[in-house]
Amino acid sequence: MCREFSSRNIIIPLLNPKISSPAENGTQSSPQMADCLVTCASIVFFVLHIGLFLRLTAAPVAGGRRSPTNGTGNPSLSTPLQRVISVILSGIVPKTKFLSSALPPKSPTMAATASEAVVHEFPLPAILTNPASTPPTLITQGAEGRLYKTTYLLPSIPCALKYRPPKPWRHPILDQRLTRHRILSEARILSKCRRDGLRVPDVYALDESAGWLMLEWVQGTPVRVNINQRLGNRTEGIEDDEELKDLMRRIGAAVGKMHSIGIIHGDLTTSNMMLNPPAGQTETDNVSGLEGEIVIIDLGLASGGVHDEDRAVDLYVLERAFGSTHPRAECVFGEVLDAYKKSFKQAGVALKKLEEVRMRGRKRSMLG
Amino acid sequence: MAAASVASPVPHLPTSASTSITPASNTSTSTSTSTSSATSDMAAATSKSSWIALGCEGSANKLGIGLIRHTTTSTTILSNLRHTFISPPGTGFLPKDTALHHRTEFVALARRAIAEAGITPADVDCICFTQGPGMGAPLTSVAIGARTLALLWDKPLVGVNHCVGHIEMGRDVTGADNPVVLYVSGGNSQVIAYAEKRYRIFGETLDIAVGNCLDRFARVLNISNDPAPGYNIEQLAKKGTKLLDLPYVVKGMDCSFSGILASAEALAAQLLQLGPEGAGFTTEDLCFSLQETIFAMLVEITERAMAHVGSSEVLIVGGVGCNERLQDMIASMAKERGGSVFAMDERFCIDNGIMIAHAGLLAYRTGFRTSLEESVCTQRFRTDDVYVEWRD
Amino acid sequence: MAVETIQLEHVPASYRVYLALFRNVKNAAFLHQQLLARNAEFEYAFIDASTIVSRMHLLSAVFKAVNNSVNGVLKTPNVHSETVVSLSSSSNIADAYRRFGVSPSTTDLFVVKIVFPTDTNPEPASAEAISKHLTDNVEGDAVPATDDTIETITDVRAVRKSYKLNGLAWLDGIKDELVKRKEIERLVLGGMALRGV
Repeated sequence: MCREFSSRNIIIPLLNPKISSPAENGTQSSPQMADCLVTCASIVFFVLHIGLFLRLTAAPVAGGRRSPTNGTGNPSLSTPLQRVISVILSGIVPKTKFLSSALPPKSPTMAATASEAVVHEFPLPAILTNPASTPPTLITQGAEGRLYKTTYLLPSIPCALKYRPPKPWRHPILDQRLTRHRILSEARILSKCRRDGLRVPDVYALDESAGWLMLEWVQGTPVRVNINQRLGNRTEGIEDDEELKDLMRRIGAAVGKMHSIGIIHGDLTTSNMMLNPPAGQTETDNVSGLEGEIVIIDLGLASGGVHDEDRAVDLYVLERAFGSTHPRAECVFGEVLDAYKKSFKQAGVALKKLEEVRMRGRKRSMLG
Repeated sequence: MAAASVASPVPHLPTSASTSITPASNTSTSTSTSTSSATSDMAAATSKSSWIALGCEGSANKLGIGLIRHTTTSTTILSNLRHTFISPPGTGFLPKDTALHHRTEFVALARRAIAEAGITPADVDCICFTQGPGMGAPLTSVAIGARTLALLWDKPLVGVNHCVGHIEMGRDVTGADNPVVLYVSGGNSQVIAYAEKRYRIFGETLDIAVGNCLDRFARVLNISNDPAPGYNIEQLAKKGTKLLDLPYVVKGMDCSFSGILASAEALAAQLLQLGPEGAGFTTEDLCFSLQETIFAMLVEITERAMAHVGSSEVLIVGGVGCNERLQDMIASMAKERGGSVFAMDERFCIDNGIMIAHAGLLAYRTGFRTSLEESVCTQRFRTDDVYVEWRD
Repeated sequence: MAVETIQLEHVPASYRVYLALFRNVKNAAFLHQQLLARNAEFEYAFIDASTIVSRMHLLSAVFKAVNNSVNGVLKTPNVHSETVVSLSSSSNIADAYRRFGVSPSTTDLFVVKIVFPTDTNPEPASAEAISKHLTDNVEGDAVPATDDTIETITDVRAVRKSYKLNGLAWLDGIKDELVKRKEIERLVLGGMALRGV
């Protein structure tokens, strides 16, 4: 089977007149028609059906119910039925002018505007142009902005400088509004998390107008890296990997703790959690690569909130991100939710809500 | 519903229908030739080096039929026709009217597509059609057309996911190898990236699609739907200068447009009531603000997905992807990331039959077929439901 | 020499930061009076050392003040008053002076002097000059400003009150005093960074 339909919600059964009839008129004939198409091999019979099909569609047109279109339509529509059918089956193509957005045929010279790839050095934020013992290192260019590893106050104190550069494609007023709001909001939320005992990076300093936030440098790697290293090329035995499942439980507990103190992360992914290895442990000691404390980072999109709906959406974002980042480890994601459930009183309600959100999410590839 | 009464003048029973279409039996020559050639065609399917597919698209208000030829090394568009159902200003396109439009235009458009391609039905390898997502009634109408052609010419059917059609066409047209895809249209707003045999949805709208937001906003201000409401908003926005404060809702890689629509509608109502003087802003300002805000949201979630998967290429597909302001914004973002944007013109951005033919043929060449029994449509067909056999 | 020269990371090279710690200060009332009288000779950040938990704490305030000075966004008359106010977790300036500034009853005193060339004063005071001026005018014992010394001076209860760190069950639950102190320092830094925002 080449295609799998993992969870398709609602199939519109063509053969079910209840669904197809009220919405349409011409396809009221579809139940009979489809049956016949399946069972009957007679070409003549198909022809008859095409006739029926067209006749049904042509009737409302004659009644003036057709809404204006950008094209003139096709003369065959206004001609008698006989002509319609003869036109279909003969090889003659009516020489009508098409006013739709039809293109000249055989014109595969397609307009592709691929700009030249430009790799360049990013200008440093002003604060980092001042002298320091070691030059700042660009760690990531996240969507949020750039993360530099640098030093705070003294050469011995490493720190992360999160810089949100102006986005030239954004309207300057909107850009400034978003940047200020996000720097301040992230700092406030980190501070609240810290006060309420959730392990997040400390806030050292900030300048919301200049668009930077200086944070504690968290040792370790993003959980995404640990999981992927752990998975390697494995395709089997993942669901029984106890150490991996334990990591999942720590993730669930950390997210639960965060929700319990009234914070919604807004961008939960395995890239936005660090695994902070136990103090004094060197890389060679790290046998499973999965030990350590979960430090939730990047609360740039976080907000305060205690609604189960928001918590559920947060979990849903994580679930989806997890599925798309670690498709093979999806089988252990249940551990995250189990641990989450045990982490605070309201967790069960949020998980109930998650089921609703999932259903809603599944539906939404349809029209608004 | 009113729909039922429209059809009532003609009793739709096979018996009564057969009486009224007698002339049809006179012209059975073309069908008989195609049946005979189809059998030989099936026998040769294994060692072929050239394939032709006919694609039928009708998930929304555009009916598109196109023919494409693949060889082992090239892709050629033989014909690409579209007929758009346009509703009057202040209204949207309703499923039943749109379905009626598609049924009305299908045969003529299919004939024309074949003629422009300069081939005969015998040359066609498969009939591809949009199986979803989209509006139920129009999808079903076009599916009936596709089934009829398949049976008439004895060709296999290939059901295609509309979103995958956009993506595959975009990849082929632009040459983008493995881009992050921003798919923005009247019915869909998704940020997609390929991983392990599926197009995975990284971000999407939490409520209405971006195009739907624009369309509905256009209705409030009675902006014309011709050629498309989004196009007319874009033209008005070019003259706007003042940025109005609208909600900006991004959650992770997802975003929401319903709140911004409600705000924009409220401002529009204010404008209609007080006039530009009284309200302190113009229609152009409002269009400008709406575009600036929602496109900034789209660029942001796209950028986040790019950062997440470590890609620097973006491909924009879908009707809203025609918007030049959106293309410029994405291009600027991609450039800053040391990458590039691939955008397409309206022939391929707007729904078309060629993309369905193209994606369908890719699947067909891997052996995929959709049996008649399975050829039902679904309004909710997730992009990640499709197993992408043809990519590594 | 009474003063220590501090080279802070990411501070423009033209800025010099000097730091001194005096214990058993006898003339705090006099120093306080000079501030109130806005005596230009006494343009220092005089900080009650019992409100400070660590060097990092104090230097954070200096860093913030310098950054505001560089950006031209001082909220107080000068970089020294800005240093004192930067220690506060609230935006109330008078309250910050009262809580962290020198008072007549101060016995342990931090003095910070930040100098940079200006149009009117292209050659700011040297370390020697500052050191001499302080030795002449502060009646107290100059000691090295180490974290160990600071720890003995800190009034932890007052600090917890200033930074609203009471009633945090998890903090009270920490048995290891060293860990607890470190946690307090982290919370203090966070509180300062967020002043008034």
